[in-house]
Amino acid sequence: MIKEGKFESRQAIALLVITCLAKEFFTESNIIANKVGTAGWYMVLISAVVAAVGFAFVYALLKRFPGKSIVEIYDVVFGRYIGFVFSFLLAAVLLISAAINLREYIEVIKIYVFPKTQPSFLIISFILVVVILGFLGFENIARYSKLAAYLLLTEFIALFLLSSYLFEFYRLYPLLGYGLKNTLLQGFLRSSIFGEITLVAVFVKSLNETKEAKRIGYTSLIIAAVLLAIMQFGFILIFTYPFGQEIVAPLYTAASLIHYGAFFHRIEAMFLFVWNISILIEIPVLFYMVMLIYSHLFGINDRRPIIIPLAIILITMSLIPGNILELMTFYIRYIREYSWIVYYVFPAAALLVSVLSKKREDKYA
Amino acid sequence: MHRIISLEILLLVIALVFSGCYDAREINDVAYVLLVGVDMGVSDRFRVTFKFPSLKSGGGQDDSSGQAGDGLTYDTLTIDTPSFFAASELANINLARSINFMHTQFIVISEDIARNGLIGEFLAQIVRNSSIRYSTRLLISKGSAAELVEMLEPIEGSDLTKTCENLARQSEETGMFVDLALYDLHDCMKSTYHQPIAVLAAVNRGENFVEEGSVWGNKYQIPGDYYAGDQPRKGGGKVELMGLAIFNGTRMVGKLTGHESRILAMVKGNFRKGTLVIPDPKQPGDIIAFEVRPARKPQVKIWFDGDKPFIDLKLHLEGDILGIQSGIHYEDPGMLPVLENALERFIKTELNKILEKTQELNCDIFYFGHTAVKHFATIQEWEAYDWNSHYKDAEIKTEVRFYIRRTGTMIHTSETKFSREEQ
Repeated sequence: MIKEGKFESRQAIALLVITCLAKEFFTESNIIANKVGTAGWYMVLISAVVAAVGFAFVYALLKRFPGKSIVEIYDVVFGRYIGFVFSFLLAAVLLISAAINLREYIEVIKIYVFPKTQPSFLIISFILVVVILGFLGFENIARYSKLAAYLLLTEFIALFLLSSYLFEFYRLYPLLGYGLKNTLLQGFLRSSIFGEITLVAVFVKSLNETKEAKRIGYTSLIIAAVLLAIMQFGFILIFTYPFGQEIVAPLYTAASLIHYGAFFHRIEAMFLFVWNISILIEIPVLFYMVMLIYSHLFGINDRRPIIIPLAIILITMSLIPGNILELMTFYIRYIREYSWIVYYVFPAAALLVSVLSKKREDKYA
Repeated sequence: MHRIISLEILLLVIALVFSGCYDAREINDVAYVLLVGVDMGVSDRFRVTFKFPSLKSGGGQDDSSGQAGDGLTYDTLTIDTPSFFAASELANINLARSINFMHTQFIVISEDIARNGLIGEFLAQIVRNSSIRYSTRLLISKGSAAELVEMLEPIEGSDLTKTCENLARQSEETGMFVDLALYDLHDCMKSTYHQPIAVLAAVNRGENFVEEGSVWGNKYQIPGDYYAGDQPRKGGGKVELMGLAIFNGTRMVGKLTGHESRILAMVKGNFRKGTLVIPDPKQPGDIIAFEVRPARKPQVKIWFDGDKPFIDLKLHLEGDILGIQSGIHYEDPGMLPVLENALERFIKTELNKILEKTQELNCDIFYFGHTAVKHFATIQEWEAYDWNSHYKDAEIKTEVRFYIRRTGTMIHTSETKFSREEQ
């Protein structure tokens, strides 16, 4: 049996913030620039507001059923069969997200860092870590996240400050990008960027009490939104919108531009740490969440036997996109534009049904 | 028992991993290209030249003759190929070393390629490859890029990398060119805000240096008013960077001298300091030298009347007197404005000439578009207006303010005394 311990809220916050931000280090800035042009930095704030509303539903639901995770609540509210479908869809979206994020990471790392290395070697090396972390348990991932968060934040700030000499404020104009209406729509659709915040509802039983979920969720959301807005702001100040739309990994490219005289340049290696560490938290977290939901769905108490089969499924799914364009224009696009349905709409529907059917297990029950 | 077996397995794995990769490459298996030159090809589309450390002298320790700098020797290889990466692949065959661009300092492209609008075609190949950094500097060579690459050698014992770095850094000291990387050119070529510029470079063979002849006398020549390679000089480095190439999209359409580049830098706000020499306003046969620096950021105001843009440009400069050849006592508080006005007039005249030149070329290299864009709310409106096409229609009003802050180590110029016969 994998021992599931409790962990403190700071560890949970670090874990959720890193999980939200990790995918943003790759092609996401490019995709945002394509969708909204110069308005990316405040589009993510619009997404954060939508995510905050979505999370309000999640927390309201958790409050009605204290001590229960969201998948257990689905069972209570919808019954075993419909609850199964809701939970299964959540697990599927998380698994697909993990697979495409893994593939995106491998593609980008192959383009920029290891052009001569076989993708299969990179994927298998990565999955080995995911499997080991799976065996070590969620508590260890959470503790490691908090430790890594300080390093990641320091590097993030250092890179932002070092690249600030490249900032040109005219690049923020035209301020409305491709139009305010478009920015609002894209901000709404891409609220899935912060969808991982709702994972707190999956691992809520690892917290000391359900009430902590509110603080963890909103704090993580605020931190992730601020960091992401800063990241997008820096990106648009370095690359004009037509140029920014061209680059596969704009943030890595920005780091490679840092050049202070003959002896202080090529510091994108620092950025590699941010990439690798963050993705080594994000994918194990998503993988573990899938494992938690899957074991709940099929009543599996010992999760160890399902780690390796799930890892093989993850590898297989990550190999489905034929090329990077298919990955970006189809898989990443749809998963990041529509997973808000699973993250926010499902809990909202469960809340509505529980209110209408007067199902609750809190002190007002 | 299990622990001992696990430990042994772990040690075996570590021994295997730490012994190095099976496909590892030693440093001398790789040719780190420092300079790349690109010309129009004769046997194929492009003529690509690579310059890299030869490692013939055993890692730079040999001090035998025929070597440049600190004992490092450099080899060049020129290949005619249809594309840049075909050239690097063919170079691998010829060198028995793998070409690597991670340490490339300059990419030199010949003016022919730039004038024919082929630079975009070439850059498209380069920027797509992650081994060439966006921070690599790009130069436009007046003559053959291959020759420039051959002639660019370390100066004063430093290695070639350091020489390139120092050459580029002179832009800060003089303002006669701008330190521009691949990133700048590629960004500008795609930009809807302005048109690109690139640094001009050339081999100076000393052809303009006349050893003997009639003396120059009191004629006035603006210092630095040359294109790269034209400066009358003897000695020093064989390659010089001076002036800027002006592009309309991917096509080079004109160029600026070192002096004009400096005026451009003043307007763009990236001029740090430089020496300006003007004719003495009271005794035009003599000259007065100033060290000029920006007093504050240039002020640019833009407004529109229909589609027509109006630009109001104010430059605020300050500086010190470096030399008064005539010996006139300009340090007198009443006389300082005479000098200030003279320099203001000089800069304004020069500035207006360059503005006219760029408007004729319809290339906004002054980056007025950075201010103009603030009048547009959305990208659609901005792109529909098309600033780069409207720049030629702009009505530009200029104003220059110059303030003398110090007079060097002298605060008074006393009258020179001559004996009666001399007078």
